[in-house]
Amino acid sequence: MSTPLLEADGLVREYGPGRRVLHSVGLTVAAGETLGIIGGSGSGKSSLARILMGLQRPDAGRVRFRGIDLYGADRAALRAARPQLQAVFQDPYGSLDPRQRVGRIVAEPLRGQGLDRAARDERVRWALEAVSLPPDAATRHPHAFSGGQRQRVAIARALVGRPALVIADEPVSALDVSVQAQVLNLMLELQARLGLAFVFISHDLGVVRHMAHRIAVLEAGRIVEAGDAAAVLGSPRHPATRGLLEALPTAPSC
Amino acid sequence: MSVLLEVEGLSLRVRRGAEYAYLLERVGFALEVGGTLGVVGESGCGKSMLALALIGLLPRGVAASGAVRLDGTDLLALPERARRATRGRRIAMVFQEPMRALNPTQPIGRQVAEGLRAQLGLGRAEADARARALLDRVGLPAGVASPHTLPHRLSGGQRQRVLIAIALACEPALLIADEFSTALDMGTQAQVLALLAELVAERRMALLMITHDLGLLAQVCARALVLYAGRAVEAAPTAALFAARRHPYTEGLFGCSLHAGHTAPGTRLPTIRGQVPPPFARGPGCCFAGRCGRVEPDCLPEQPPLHAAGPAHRVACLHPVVTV
Repeated sequence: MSTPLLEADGLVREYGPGRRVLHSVGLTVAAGETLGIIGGSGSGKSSLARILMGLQRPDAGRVRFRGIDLYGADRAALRAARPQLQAVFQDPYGSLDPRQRVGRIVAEPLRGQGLDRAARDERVRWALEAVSLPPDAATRHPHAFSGGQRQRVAIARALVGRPALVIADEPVSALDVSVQAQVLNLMLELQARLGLAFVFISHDLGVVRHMAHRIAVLEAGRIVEAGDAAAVLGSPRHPATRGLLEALPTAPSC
Repeated sequence: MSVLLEVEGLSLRVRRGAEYAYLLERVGFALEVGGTLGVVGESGCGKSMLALALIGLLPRGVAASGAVRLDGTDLLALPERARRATRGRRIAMVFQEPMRALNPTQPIGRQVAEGLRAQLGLGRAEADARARALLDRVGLPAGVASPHTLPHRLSGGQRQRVLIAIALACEPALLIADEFSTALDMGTQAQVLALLAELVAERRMALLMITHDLGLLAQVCARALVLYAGRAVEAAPTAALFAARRHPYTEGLFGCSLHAGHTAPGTRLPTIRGQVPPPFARGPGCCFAGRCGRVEPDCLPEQPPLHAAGPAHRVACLHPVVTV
């Protein structure tokens, strides 16, 4: 079997003594697949997301992306690989710098990659086109866009470095259902076209069910159930999974 | 059953220079004592403005016309002083963001007691005792939180419970909940909703719930009102709506919801093309025409009126969806 794209093992995160939010979490993501991570509030989802994004050093354990330790000593290898590992956050209002033009926001992951200006502009144009934003979007500020369009800007920023993996933490939770569907379609389409892999973290089971090939259920900082999406949701074995499924609002049968 | 709230021809108008635009246009519905109504629609359709108009907290510059009758009294015609007496007392509201709706510097007990003292004129000791009982009732007993607890010590779900306690304090006849559980994870959401539904039934309160989540609509509300671009486009019993949508907009909303339909995983979700037109860009005809797949020339000259589409089911569309 080929090496997985992302490999995490033994991840521990503590906020002070006795406040351990992750207990030895391990997971792998293969190229082109979507791993869904579900769990209630306080399950450790967001802490795990930040560690997998390379934003928060774990207290123990390792995360390797293409074999490179995200928190290891080889800074040069990490810098070269970094554009291929990107993040999309929940809040399209808070995650874009309001003072920067969209072109500059989207180009951010390309900084330090030794590209000249023309090459950078070309990549930004490509990324904006990939998310169906007009090319002149680059010259405008985030406030000129609706919530769904801002989330497209955030996805364009994630795409610009031609990533292999995007870690998405509640990427559609703040959006209207109509816009939610557009963003999910976009993610599926990009996956089919570019072979992207996603880690899709959400409390919304309906969304995860739609997006994920495999699902891991996080409870109190531990992965309590993991496997094929249809199996985990179809015949859940752990009480935590069953609890999450019961909370899922369903259409009345009529 | 007797009617508690009767909204008739409610319009909300804003001005920009010499131009006028409507945030809500001739919206009407009724809610009986103990009834539950869900208001659905995308952002920008006027859902929250409707809630603010009912409770009388419209932003400056928004002019209301029409009638909002509570037990037969038109609230829009009342002077502000009399209006203030109904707020919290007869109509209460639970807001979207529990962190911002609570005062971070005040213990939760005092925030619950505040309405009791101001609206019912209770003394401090009696108000405090009632506040404690209310916190107990919403699932925040002494072991979990004391009346002296500050909001930041509580989780999102617990803060939402405090807000429910505040809203229920004066036993209002109508409770308005504006997207109030969106910020919570699904487990907590289910618990808080169950509590709300229980209290509404127990106290015979009417509930008007604003939501974009069709799953919640199905769970909590007997009737549904679909708002689009400030207009009521469909009104029906929730079960009837889940069985058959008549307005293409409602059909579109249900199509892209992952909680209402049964879409196969990984497949392309139906979407509604385009966006809700902003108030100053709405034409004279059907407000959905620009995004509608069923649009015909006769949709454009004027807004189609609501007409009967089934038992207690009304739709504002000249070419409604027909399901066989």
